[in-house]
Amino acid sequence: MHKSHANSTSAPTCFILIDDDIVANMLAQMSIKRYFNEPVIHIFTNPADAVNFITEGEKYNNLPCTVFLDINMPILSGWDVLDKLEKIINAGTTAFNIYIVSSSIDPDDKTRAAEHPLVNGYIEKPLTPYLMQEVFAG
Amino acid sequence: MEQTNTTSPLIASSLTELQFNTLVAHSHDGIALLNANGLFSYVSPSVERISGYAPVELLGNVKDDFIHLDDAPEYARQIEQLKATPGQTIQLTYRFKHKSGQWNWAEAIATNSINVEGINAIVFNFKNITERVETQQKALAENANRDALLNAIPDIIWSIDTNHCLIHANTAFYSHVMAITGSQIKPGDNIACKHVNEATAQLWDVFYIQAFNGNAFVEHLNFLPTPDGMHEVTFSPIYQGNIITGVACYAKNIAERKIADERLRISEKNMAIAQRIARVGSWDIELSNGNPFTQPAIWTDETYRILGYDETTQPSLQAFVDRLHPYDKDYVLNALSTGIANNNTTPIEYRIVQPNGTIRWLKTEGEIFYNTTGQATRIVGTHKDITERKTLELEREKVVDDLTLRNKELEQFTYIVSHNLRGHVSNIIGMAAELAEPNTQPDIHQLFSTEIKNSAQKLDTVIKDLSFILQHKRGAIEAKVYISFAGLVNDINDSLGSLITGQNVQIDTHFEAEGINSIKSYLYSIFHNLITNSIKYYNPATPPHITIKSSLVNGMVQLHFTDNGIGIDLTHNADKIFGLYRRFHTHTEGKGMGLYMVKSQIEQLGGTITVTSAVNQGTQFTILLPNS
Repeated sequence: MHKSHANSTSAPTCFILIDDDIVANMLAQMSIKRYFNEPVIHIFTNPADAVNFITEGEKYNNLPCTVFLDINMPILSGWDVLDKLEKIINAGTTAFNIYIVSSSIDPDDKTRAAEHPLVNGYIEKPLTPYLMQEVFAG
Repeated sequence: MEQTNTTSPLIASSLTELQFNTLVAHSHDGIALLNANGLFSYVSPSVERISGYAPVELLGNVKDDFIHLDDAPEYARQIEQLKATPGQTIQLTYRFKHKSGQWNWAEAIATNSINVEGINAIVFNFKNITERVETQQKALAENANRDALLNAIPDIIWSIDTNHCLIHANTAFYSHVMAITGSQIKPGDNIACKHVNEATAQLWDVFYIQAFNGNAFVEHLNFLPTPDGMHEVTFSPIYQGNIITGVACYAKNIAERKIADERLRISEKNMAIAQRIARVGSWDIELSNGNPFTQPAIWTDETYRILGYDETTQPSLQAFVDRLHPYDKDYVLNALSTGIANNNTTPIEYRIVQPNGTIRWLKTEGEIFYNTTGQATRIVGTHKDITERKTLELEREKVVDDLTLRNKELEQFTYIVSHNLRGHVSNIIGMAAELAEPNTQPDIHQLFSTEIKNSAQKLDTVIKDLSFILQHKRGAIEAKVYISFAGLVNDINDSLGSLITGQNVQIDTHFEAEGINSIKSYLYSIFHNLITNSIKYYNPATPPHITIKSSLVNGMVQLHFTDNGIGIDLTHNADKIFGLYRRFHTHTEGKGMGLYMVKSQIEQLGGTITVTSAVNQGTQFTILLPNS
């Protein structure tokens, strides 16, 4: 379901949160901070800005970075974001590890996430330190 | 008269010479004496009138080519025989050459008086009978022609006089009489005895007497005891001046025609039954002569019935067109004209309106005939009443549409449950968990306390929205009333009050269709949602300007809502715009329910809504609603 590539003691770790829900972003930020030391967290409530940011990052081949992507957003949904990212990201070599983070309990959403080549896993909201543990420590 | 002339030389002695000469000179006949040497010894003055030669030209002379070559041998033979028999008188008929060169017929009485003293010659007494011969020949030729004509006809032809005696008949008549009576009949025979029996003789007598009384008529009579003997007999009186002298009869065997007629009648009856059972009527339209719409067409009984016409109607393409449903008229006429142009005979399905207002569905198929120059000359086809099938089909389509709609709605509710409900719940769970942490900072504690309350309230709103939508879905059936569009806009204006004045909103209306019969709460909700949408998504550069127009299109009411707002990027959102909880702008507090409600209410009224828009170019909604 997920890959482990970091531990709680490593150097600054990069996160990108894409969600229009401010409370959800706050909860995610708190959970990440509980699990990682001095993480770098980029928060985007507008998915289009996030797509631009990732496009730039992919160009310069940055350090590994974890993306938490919400599905239910106006204008661009999480699936729309993935459609755009597919065109600029190479699933085999990219440093971006994308996780769908959604409140949806619809099995169709989980299946769709599992089948998507850019998606590493599906995390059911709310994001908690316990879930961080599950994702990153195995 | 001839006798007098021939014997005149014999009695001449008792007449004075003057008397004799006067008689001879005025005689119509020519008189000539031919002596033993074959030379003329005397010719009377009238010979010149007959032959063209003056007596002096003939006396003591003989003309070698005077007698026609074809007649010369017989003439010579008769004369030689006469010469050998003194005192005999013979009659000769021959052609002689007039002085002008023209051949004439002569009839002569010749007497051998060679041994009579004082005459000593063959006495010729002759006259020109050319006219009589030609008349006879002509009459013979005419008779022959007439008989040939009559005999060439297989039908039976005969005429009888008022004594019931046969005047004339063709061979078909003679053979027929021979066939049925076994005896011959000839002109002059009484026809009454030539019947099979007394009863038929009396029957025929009745008809003959009718004709003798001046009636011309036609009777169907059976000449034989079997159906093969059925004849159509024409009786025509024969007039000579004003007097009826007989009757001419013409009998034609119509047994085959009768049988064919009967077969045709049965076949037509069977076809009519078949068409009635199958509900198929056929028709035939001429296209080549004059106006194809107005010229007479051919319809079967079932076509009349399907179109709702009685038998007094003159069938025509126009009469058919008059029955077309107003919505389908253009479609049918277009199919007809393009069909003829391209020889396309694809069946069409359309509606007609019968005089009592009943709407029927027809399926029409045809075959088009063209002449050698490619011009359409005729179109023949069928109308099939498919109302039952079509009604079931439309019902099925409606059921499928309803099911599809229900399915979509279910998907939407799943989405609402997964995201809108679950989203708030997950936030509450997440924040509650944080609050339970022993070392929560006071500001976070404060914030989450408030946010949990907010999320619970949002959750409550979603649940209330869902409840509202589900109640509408259950379709509380409200009576349809007349709704004035102007009144509706006024009411909404009043209810929006400060929103309108505060934002400096301008609403222009142009209601060509002034109102509609519909469900008032739905219409209010539709207008309210569209107007508030336009105000909510206004373009900050200009005050909101909304134009609402109405018109009648094909019996439906068409509404246009146009604004100058920020518009919607339809290239990305065309399929989502009317979805539930879909918001297209992040800067406003949309619940994402308005357009969903608008669309579902319009669909429940049997209408449609479409949208055109582009970013910063305003939005136009077009609504079609049935006016029930």
